[in-house]
Formats: sequence, C-alpha cells, structure tokens
Amino acid sequence: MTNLSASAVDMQVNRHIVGRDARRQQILTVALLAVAVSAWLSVSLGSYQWQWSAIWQYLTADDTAARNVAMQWYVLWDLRLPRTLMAICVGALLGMAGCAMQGLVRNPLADPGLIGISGGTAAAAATSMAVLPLYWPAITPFATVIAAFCGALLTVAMVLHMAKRPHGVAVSTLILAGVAINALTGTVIGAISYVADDDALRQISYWTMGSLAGANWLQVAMLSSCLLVSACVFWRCRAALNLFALGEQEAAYQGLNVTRYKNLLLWTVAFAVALATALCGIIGFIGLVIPHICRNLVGVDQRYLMPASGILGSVLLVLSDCVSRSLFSPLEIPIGIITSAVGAPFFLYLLYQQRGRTDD
Amino acid sequence: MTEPVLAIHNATVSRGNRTLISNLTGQLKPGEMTAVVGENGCGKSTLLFHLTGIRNHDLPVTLHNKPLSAWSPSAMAKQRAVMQQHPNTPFAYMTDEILLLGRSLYKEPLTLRTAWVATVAEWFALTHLLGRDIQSLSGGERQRIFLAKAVLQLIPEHQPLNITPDFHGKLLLLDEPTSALDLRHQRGVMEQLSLLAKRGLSVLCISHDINLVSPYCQQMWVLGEGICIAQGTPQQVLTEPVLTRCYRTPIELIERPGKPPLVTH
Repeated sequence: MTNLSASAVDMQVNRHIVGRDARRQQILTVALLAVAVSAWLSVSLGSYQWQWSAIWQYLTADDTAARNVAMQWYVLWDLRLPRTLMAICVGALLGMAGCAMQGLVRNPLADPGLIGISGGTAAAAATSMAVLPLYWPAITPFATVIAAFCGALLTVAMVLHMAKRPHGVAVSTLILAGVAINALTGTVIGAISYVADDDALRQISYWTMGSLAGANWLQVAMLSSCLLVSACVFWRCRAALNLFALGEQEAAYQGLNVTRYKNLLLWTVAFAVALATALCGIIGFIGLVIPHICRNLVGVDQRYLMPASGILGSVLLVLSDCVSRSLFSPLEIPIGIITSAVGAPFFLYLLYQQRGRTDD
Repeated sequence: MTEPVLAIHNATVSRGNRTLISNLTGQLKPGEMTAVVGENGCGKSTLLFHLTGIRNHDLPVTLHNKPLSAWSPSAMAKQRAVMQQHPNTPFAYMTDEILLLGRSLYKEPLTLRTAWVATVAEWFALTHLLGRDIQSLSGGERQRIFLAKAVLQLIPEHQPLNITPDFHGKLLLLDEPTSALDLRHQRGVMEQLSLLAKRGLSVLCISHDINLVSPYCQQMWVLGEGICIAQGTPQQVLTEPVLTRCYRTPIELIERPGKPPLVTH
C-alpha cells in the first residue's frame, strides 16, 4: 500500500479490461449483423413478392423490360429500399439522440420525446403545414423541416432553462416541463387540426402517429447525411459524455470545456430529432428504450454505448416497421403506435424499478 | 525559497452576495500538505471551489504565477485535480472505467493507462475492487476510487511505469476525502498522500478530523468569523484560544511528545 514505486504492471487488470472491450466489440458486430438481417427481412416482406432473377433481368436487359419485371423493380427500388433505409437512419438518429440526452442530463429517463422535443417539433411542423401553404405554396416541404428544427431548438432551450439548477439539471423538473410542453403542443396541434383544411388535416394526423410510408430517395439522402454528421459529433463527444456522467463540475475539473460540449450535444440532438420528426412524424420511446437495453448489453461506457444505441435503434425501428406493415396486412398501422405500445409500458417498468432511489 | 504552486493574495471569498472569508492570503508550496479546518458553513468548500478555477471569479489567485482565469481548462487540469465531497454517478460504471476517466486528458496507449490504473489502485488499496460496479460500492470505497482518479489525473503524460512520477508543481484539492473512511483506510490514505507530497505534490485538504490530519500536514488554516483566524504549522495553530474562537465551544488539548496536540472536547 505504501509502496510508491509499485512498478509491476498488473497484467491481470490489463487482461480484464482488454477482454471486456473485446467482448463489447463482438456484441457490436453481432448487432451490425442484426441490422443486415432485419433490413433483408424488411425488403422482402410485403404483399408483393419480387425475385432476384427479375431484378437482374431488369438491370441487364437493354430493351424495355416486361411489365411484371418493371413492377418488381419499382417495388424494390422505389418503395421497399428507401423505406428500409429511412427506418435505419431514423432509428439510429433517435437511439443516439436518446443516448446523448440521457448522458447529458445524467438520468436514464431522459428521452427526447418525454422532455417535449418531439412535441415541440410536431407543433411547429403542424403549424407550418397548415399555415404556410396559404401564403407560400411552393416551398412547404423544406419549410416544414426548418419549422420543425426551430420548434425543436425552442423546446430544448425552454425545457433546459426551466430545469437549470446551480449544480446541473433537475431531472424531475425536466420531465414535468416535458409533460407541460407535450400538453401545450397537443393543444396547438388540436387547434390547428380544427381550423386546417382536409389536406393539411390528413397530413397532420398521419404525422402525429408517425409513419415511414412516404419514404423517398430525397428523404433518405437528407436523413443519411444528417446521420453521418450527428454520428460523427456523437462519436467525437464520447469522452465528454463519459465525463458528464460524473457531473458537470467533475467534468470541468477534468479539463472539459463544459459549455462548449453541452451546446454542441444539445444542438446535435435537436437537429437529429427535428429532422427525423419532420420527415417521419412522432416516433416515440426509441430514445428511452434503446439506450437502456444497450446499457445491459455493452455497459455504460459511451465508447460502446453510443454505437450500440445507434445500431440497435436501427434494428428496433426496422422491425417495428415490419410489424406495422404485416400485422394487419394490407392495412398499415402507424409505426409511432407500435413504438409507443412497446415503449410506454417499458417506461412504466423503468419508473417502477427506480422507486426507492432517493437521489434525483 | 521555492516558488509557490498556488498563491492567494488578499482574496475575499463570497457565495451569492454573502461574504464568507475576507482578506485571505496564503501559499501552497510543492511537497506541502495544508489542512483547512473550521465550523460548518464557514466557507471551506466555497474557498476550495474558487481555487479550482472552473468559474471565472477574478479572484487574486495564481497557479504557477499565472491568474486562474488565464489558464485553459485542459492545461489547468494537468496541474490540479479536485475531489468533491460526494462524488457519484447515476450510471453503473465499472470502477476501472472511472479510474481510466482520470487519464482522459492524455493520449497514451491503453496498456500504459491500465498499468497506471492498476498501480494507483494499489496505492489506495483498491485492487480488489477493480471490475466492480461503482454503484455496488460503499461510501468509503467510492470515496477512495474518486481520490485515486484525482491522483491519476496528475501523473504526467507517457510516464514510464518503472520511474516514480514527479509531482512537483501539481496540486490536489480535496474536500473531506476521509469523511466516510474507517480507521485503517483513514490512516492508509493519509500515509499515501504524504508519500505523494514527498514526491513534490501540494495537497489542500478540507477536514473536520483535526487529529487525523494534523500529524501529516505542514500548514493549517483555521477559518471562522469571516476571516482566516490562524495560519501556521499545526503546533502553532492548535492552541486553545484559536480553536475556542473557531468552534465556539470549550476545547481541551492533550499534549503529545513530537506530535501536534490531540484536540478533544
């Protein structure tokens, strides 16, 4: 104990840490395989069957292909593939955003949806969908995304301002503020639905339940570039998020520029959730459920937790989408309903588990 | 005369708009352990927080002759480490992951990092706790983990394992590091800290356990009545008038040969 020059390298500790890291990497690899499998399932699932031979024929034939073949190509290339890719991107974005949010406010119950970001985004987007076409019909799709982004940022700023305490963020206030904001945005969406015309109304109701049905390649391009950027930011912030877990002061003592990283992470979360919500509507609880499952699989170290949250978020959303399409096929259940049906009971379970915890 | 690591020039420490300590002057020199004592709420923790330099307070405090506000967060973190009073995390980090976070400032190969983690864990008798979930530890065990993490933060980058690190110019700020420890670990931690001090480390340690810290520290600051009542070696400071004034309760001193007197009531 009092031997200051303990020079013997404790190989056992090193072996333990290296072995654990290797195990976690294996789990990540398996999870990546799961993405591929679920994507394959999603592409092949549906009322219309397509064959590789037909696709190959379509791609290689120099003259116009048979109608049946062209149809198969259309189903694969224009319907199933963008939809699957969109599910992958949105799932990864929401999973990582949830993971970042929970690390930032140091509470496993913080989900972008629960603290009102999704609601704020939806209210802003619904307003833009109902109001903007009256004045400016040409640019609505992009205006919706921009409005959604502004709504997301506004909510983040509002919620965090309310929950701010000298020693960090008060999580009970954060969640209560989320409840209040969700109620408020529900009112806004209700009022707008009341005055909106039929077209906007259909869009809004389809939206508050979340759906991947409108997937196209433009949306896939937007989402995948957003995913690329935010994944880079989240990965860059992995060490910062680990330090945040010990508390903001502790992170500052360790030389972290707390304000800079906090702002960077919040902006990225808002950006990711806003874009996902603007294009697919409200898909709740991914950001709550996924990091929790991942913590049980790969531990709490953000070097593994963050990629795992992204990867498993994709798997969960792709599978949910498969369920939403095939449960009452050919009828489609909005995917937001599926994720809420899984997530809301899960949230109750987490609360049940947390009873008896005194620190807040 | 050696250059001080940290120097306070006539500082006034306040919290909100309440002034807690006026006109405090003091120096922490390399290899010196300083204990800060005083009654509850007299401003010990606030003083320590101000000395960490993470908020811009414009206090007249210099670290290596440079005002605290002139330091960048990461450069400062390589010179001084802090241990808070109740360190904790809501997530189930493993103890070795927490200790590895102490090295997060430095770019080193993993083998070197883990070797230093294992070494410092041994210094603080933590080897048997490596690989455990931090939330499953007792308060005292957790306290020692975070103390070890603070020490890890001060070991220079790429420090070879077979050479004892030089802690000259490094500063360790501790807020009641032994409050949850049993008798054996109280002694073990203080012995280890004084060994590090012999390697040049400056330690500022808040404590209510005067008898525990007095044999190990070279300097004691007694705070109270909004000022620093006394500064000096434990022998100079631990007198009945000073302590009665500080704690506002009758104090009895038991003299010991070659050691500071035992303080009791």
